[in-house]
Amino acid sequence: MTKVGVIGANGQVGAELCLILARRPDIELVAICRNRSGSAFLRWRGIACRHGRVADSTDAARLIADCDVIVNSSLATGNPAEIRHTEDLIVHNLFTHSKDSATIVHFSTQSVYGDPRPNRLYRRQNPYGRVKLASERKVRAEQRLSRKPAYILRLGHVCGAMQGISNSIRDSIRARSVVLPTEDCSSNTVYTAAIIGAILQIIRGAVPVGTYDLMNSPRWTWREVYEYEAKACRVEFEPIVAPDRPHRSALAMLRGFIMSVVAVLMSAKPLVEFGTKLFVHVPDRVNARAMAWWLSRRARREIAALTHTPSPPEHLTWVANGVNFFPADQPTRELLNALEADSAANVEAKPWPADLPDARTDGVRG
Amino acid sequence: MQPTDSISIGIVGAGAITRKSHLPVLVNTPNVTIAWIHDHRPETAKALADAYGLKSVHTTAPEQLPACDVALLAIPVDGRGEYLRHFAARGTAVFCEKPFATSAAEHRNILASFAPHALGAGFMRRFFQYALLLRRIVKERRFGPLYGIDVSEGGRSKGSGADASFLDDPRFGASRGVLADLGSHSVDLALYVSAASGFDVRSCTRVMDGAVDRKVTAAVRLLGVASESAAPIDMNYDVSWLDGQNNQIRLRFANATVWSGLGPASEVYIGDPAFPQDAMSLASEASRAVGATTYNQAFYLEWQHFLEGLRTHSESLISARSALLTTSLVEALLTTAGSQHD
Repeated sequence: MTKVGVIGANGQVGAELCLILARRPDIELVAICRNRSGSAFLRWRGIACRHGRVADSTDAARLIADCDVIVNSSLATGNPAEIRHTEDLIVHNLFTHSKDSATIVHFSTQSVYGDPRPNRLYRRQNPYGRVKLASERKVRAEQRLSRKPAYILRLGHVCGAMQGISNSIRDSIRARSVVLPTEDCSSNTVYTAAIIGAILQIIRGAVPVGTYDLMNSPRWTWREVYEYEAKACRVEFEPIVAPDRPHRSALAMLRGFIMSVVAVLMSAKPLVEFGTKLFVHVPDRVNARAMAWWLSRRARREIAALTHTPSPPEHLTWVANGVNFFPADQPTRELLNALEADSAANVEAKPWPADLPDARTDGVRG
Repeated sequence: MQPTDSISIGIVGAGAITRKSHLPVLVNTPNVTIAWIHDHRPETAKALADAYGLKSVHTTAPEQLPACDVALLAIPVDGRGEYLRHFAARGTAVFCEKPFATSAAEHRNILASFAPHALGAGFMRRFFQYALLLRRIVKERRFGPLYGIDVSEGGRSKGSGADASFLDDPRFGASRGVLADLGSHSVDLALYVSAASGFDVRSCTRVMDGAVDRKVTAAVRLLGVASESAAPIDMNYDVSWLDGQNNQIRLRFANATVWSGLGPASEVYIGDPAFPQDAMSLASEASRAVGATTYNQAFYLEWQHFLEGLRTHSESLISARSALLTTSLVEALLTTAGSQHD
C-alpha cells in the first residue's frame, strides 16, 4: 500500500485525481486542502482530508510527513510576487518536510513553452507560464539538495469528467455547434486517466527521474478528443467543418501588414484631415485608386459583419508542444476504458468522513 | 447635501470584496473620497490602503473611527452589530455587503435605527442588464402572466484561493452556509425580478456538513408578484457548493419560457431551455436599459444609486428596506428545512 498525498486536492485537476485514486486498493490517499470550505466537495464524496498550508513550515510536516509519494497539484493565488513566493515555499517545504524516502511529483504546464498560437517568431510566456517555469527550477534545485526523486510533469490541457475543457466540449457537442478545421491537428490534451497512469508508473519506479510532457498516449488529435467526448455523453457527433484559410504568400503577408499600418494611421482624425488636403495635390489616377481602395475596404468589412462564417475555436489551431514525452506504458484509451469499468463497479463512499489524523513527524528532518 | 457635494466614505473590512470590487469602483466614482480603511487586521488594512494611496486607521473600538459621510461594512454579517449601533448613533449612513442580516427581526431592528435612504444592502445583481430586462418582462406581461420561476446556482467547491475563510470560522455561524453566503444573491434576484411581496415555503432540504449547509433545495410559493394573474407562483430553488447547477434563472410564462444565466454578461433567451441552440436572444431588448454587463459596472451602479438617494434624501433601489423580504425568505428556508446528512 502506497501512501499518496495530493496537495491542492480540491482544485479542478486535484479533485478528480483524488476521486480516482481513492478507489484504488493499492493506494492510501491523503487529500490535503487549505480549508474546510474548499474540501467540502471531496468530503461530501466520502474522501477524508487533512487541512492546512503546506506553504507554512509549521504546518507542512503534519500534512505530508508520512506520505510515500506527494503530488503537488496546487496553484498559488495572489499578485505575481505573492504567487511566486508561495510556490517557492510550497516546493521548499515539500522537500524539507517529507520523509527521506519520499518521491515528489510536481505538476507543471504546457504554458512554459509560451504563446501557443501558430506562426509566432517568438513564443512569449504568459505570467502563469513564467511562474510555473520558475517553480520547475525550484524543484530541480531542491531535488539536488535533498536527493529525493522528483518528477516534473508538464500537463497538457487536462480533460476528464470534471474538467472545464471536457465540459465545454460536451456543451458544444450537445448544442451541435462544434466547428472543426478541415485539417485535423494534434492536441496537447491529457486525460485524468493518463495522469493517474503516470503516477502509478512513477510509484512502480518504472520511469527515470526527470521533466516530462504528459499528454495522451499516443497523442490524440482534436477530432479524436471530440469524438471521444461525444461518445461519452452519448450524442451523435455532427461537426461543422470550417473552410481552411487560403495560404498567404510572404508577399501577401507583407502587403497586408503595410495596409493595416496605413489603415491605423488613416483612422486618426488629424492624419485623415492632413491626407485629405494632401490628396488635392496628387494626380487624379492616384486619388481614384485611393478612393477605390477605401471604398472596397469599407464594403469588405461590412459584408464580413453581415455574413457569419463559422470558424473553429482558437485552441484547435494551437501548436503541438513537447520535447520529452512521458514514456506511458499503456495507451490512454485503454486507461479510460479501465477507469470507466472501475467507476461502474464501485460503490459511492459514505459522505462526510472524519478528518484524517495528522502525520507523525518522528524522523523527519526540517 | 448638494448633488455635486463630495461624499466621504469610510471602509470597514479590507477583504477580497473591498479589494477587488468596492475600492476600484469607488476611486473611479465622481464626487467621492475614501476617508479611511479599517480592518481588525491592521497590516491588511494598511497594505490595501497603501496600494491605493489611501489612509488606514487602526482602532480597537468603533467609537474611535474617524468621521465620514458613509460607512461601507464589508465584514461578515455576524460582526457588524457594534459598528451599526455606532454609526446609527453618529448619524452616519451605512452601506452593508450581503447578506444584510441573519433574521427578519434583526433586519427590522437595524432598519429602525436609520432613515430609509441612509441604509443600503449590496444586492448588486439587481443592476445586471438581464435582471432589469427580466423584471420589465414580468411587469409588462410581455408573454402573459408569470407561472413559475426556477433558480439554480453554484457548483462544486474548487480551489478556494484562500488560506482561511470566514466561512469556516465558528464565530460567524450565521453566515457561513451556502444559502446565506451565495444563495442570498439569487433569492434576492428572484424576488426582485418577480416583484413578489410575500412567500410561503412549501419544502426545503439541506445537505449539512456538520453545522454548515452546503446544498439547499427548496420549493417556495411567491405571493403578490407583478403579474396579471396575481395568483401565487411556484419557485423551484437550488443552491449548492457540492455539485454542478444550471446557474440560470428561468421564468415560465403562459406563452413562453424566458431564461438567463446568472453572470453579469448573461443574455436573456426565449425558447425551450432544453434546446438552447434553437433559442432566440433578447439582446437588443436588454441593451435598451442602462444595466451592468460586468461586476464593476454593477458595483458602480449600486453606489451611484445609493449615493444619489443620500444626496436627495430618497430611498434608493438598493435600500436595506427593499431587501427585507430576501432576509425573511432566507431565514424561513433555514429554519423550516429538513436536514439530510447523506
